[in-house]
Amino acid sequence: MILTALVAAPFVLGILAWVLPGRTARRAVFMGAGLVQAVLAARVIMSPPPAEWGGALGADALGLIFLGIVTLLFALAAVYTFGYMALHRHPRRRYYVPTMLFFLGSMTLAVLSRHMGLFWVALEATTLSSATLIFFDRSERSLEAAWKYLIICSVGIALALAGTFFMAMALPQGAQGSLLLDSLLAAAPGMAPAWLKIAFLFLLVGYGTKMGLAPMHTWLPDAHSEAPSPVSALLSGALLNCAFLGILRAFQVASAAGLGEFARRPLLVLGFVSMGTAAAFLIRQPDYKRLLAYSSVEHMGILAVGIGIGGGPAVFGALLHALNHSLAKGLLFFAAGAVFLLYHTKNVSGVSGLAKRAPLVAILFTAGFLAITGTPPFGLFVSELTILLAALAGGHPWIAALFLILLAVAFAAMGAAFLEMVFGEPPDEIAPAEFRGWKAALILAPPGLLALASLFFGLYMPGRMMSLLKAASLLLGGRG
Amino acid sequence: MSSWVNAILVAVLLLDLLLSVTSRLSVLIRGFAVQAAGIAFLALLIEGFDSRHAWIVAGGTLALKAVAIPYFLNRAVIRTNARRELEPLVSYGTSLLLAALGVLLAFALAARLPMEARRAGLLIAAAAFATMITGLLLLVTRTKALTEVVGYLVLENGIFLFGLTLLGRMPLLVEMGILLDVFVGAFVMGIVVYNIHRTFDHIDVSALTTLKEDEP
Repeated sequence: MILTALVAAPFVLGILAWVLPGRTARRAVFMGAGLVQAVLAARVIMSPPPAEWGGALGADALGLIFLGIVTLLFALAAVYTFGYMALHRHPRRRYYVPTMLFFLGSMTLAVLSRHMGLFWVALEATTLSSATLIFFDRSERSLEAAWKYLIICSVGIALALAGTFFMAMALPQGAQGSLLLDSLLAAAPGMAPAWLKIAFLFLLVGYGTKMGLAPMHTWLPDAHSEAPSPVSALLSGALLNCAFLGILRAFQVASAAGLGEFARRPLLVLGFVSMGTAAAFLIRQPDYKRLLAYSSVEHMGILAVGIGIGGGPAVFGALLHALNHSLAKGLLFFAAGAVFLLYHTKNVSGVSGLAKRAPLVAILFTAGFLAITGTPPFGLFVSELTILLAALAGGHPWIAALFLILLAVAFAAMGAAFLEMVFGEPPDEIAPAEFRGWKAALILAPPGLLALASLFFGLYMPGRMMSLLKAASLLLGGRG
Repeated sequence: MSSWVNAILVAVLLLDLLLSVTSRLSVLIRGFAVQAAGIAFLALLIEGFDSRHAWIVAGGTLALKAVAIPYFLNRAVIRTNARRELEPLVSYGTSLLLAALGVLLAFALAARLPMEARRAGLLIAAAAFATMITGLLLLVTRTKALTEVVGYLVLENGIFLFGLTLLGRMPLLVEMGILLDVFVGAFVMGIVVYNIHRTFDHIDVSALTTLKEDEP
């Protein structure tokens, strides 16, 4: 029952927010949804309930990790939205709260679904609900971004649907074919390899498009930079992981069928192409929100590389990295929203002297930079090091070297932009916004919490998190 | 029964060729709608007229893809004054040639993949692949936003046709979810196209280039 409630609550509250008159009521529903969802998700994570909907809705270790990420980021985004919208010159849009809730509902359904078809339905629903959030502004740029996002991701996800059907074709004759993950895994050894291979490739390209793997990433920088900051944080921190989960599900089936080796190679290639492309576009990137978006492409590449290397430690590292990246990227997009409110520009060159104008924002922004580039002692350092050591231990020195070089390029490129923004003299032509009081507190508390979490997970890993990560990497063919 | 199935599949293939050469958006939309209706009928023929599941899927496909989506798209055509695709990236002759090659490729692909004793014959897989290829062709060679929406829908038609071979194996919930997603997708795309038209005074997506990187 609790899983159904977890999926249904956002949709029900979304409809409620749609029909309720008045902004205050809608906001109350919004905050309430974040809270209800957080409580339910915490219960589910601490003691996973049995599967529901005939096994189509279930909570395994993999899904629980991503459920935690989605719920945490959403709850923080709900708090942040209050302050952000109060200070932003955006037109108020009635559909914002309901659409955000539908978006949350579809993401929750995606992370909890253990049926390949149901997963597809949920992931396409995330595209549709978030597209309207991207053209929130109705500016020319946001329209273009929303259009690219809709058409590229819809086509990508359509290919993933084809891949899902191909997977069903791979099922052995007579096997009561169903796309339930459990029956797929059970039937995997007898699957027709030709169909399963083409299925995996279609799923990889399809969900890879949505995950932002290069060269299918072209929509991502536009969408993530044009959306309002709370939405960007969810897109980068939560949604990309949901698409990654789709690839992991396909990988699970391919591994169970003995095609793990076949599946790892394209993951490794796409991962490095993503890291390389991102590094190239991070250098001298003039727009700081696009900088963060390309950094997401880079980190999605790191996840793919981690799974591509294979073996217990690398997979463990990749999953830990997914978690840490979400915390750090959420922190950065929240902080970037604060910077935007202070300077009214998204250009790196238009922002300087952040440390003088708003020391708290500067601290958060710098913490985000250090976290995302994997500086010790932040969590991303641990996960990147784990992947690197796994590559070396697995006898892939070239992979390790390339990995390290690309990380260094990203560090330098992002560092240059951050230095320019944080230090120097603030421009005096822009009057400081009314960035104080409860509004500022609501804007700064969520990224503050994420900064602490990111630091905390770099120093200490709670037992439940460790056991979930270990269980999840076992699901993906890692041996402990 | 089987001759009916084959006749519809041939019609689907011919519609693929028609879709790849027409410049009129209204013909394109109608072609898509007829194709969707054919696929809905196929669902009944293959699954059997006594299956409640097949009736629901066929009815849903007919209502959403053959009626509702074409209706919204036609309204968008009228509101945005985009009646013709004037500047495709390749000529219509080349387009036809590519579509014909796509059909050949589809047959070659279908013949190569193991399909033993599935209720789906070679023809159904070939028609599905050919329709997918036609959709992709429309997506990459046309510049009007609305034509690209139809391209996406045709691609999805092909995938759904492929899914038919699996019909009865998937929960109804999932099949209706897929239909609903496609419907809402077309609807949201229509809204964005309309807004693009209002903002830019055209729906030529090749002119949407503000967000390109200046310097790689």
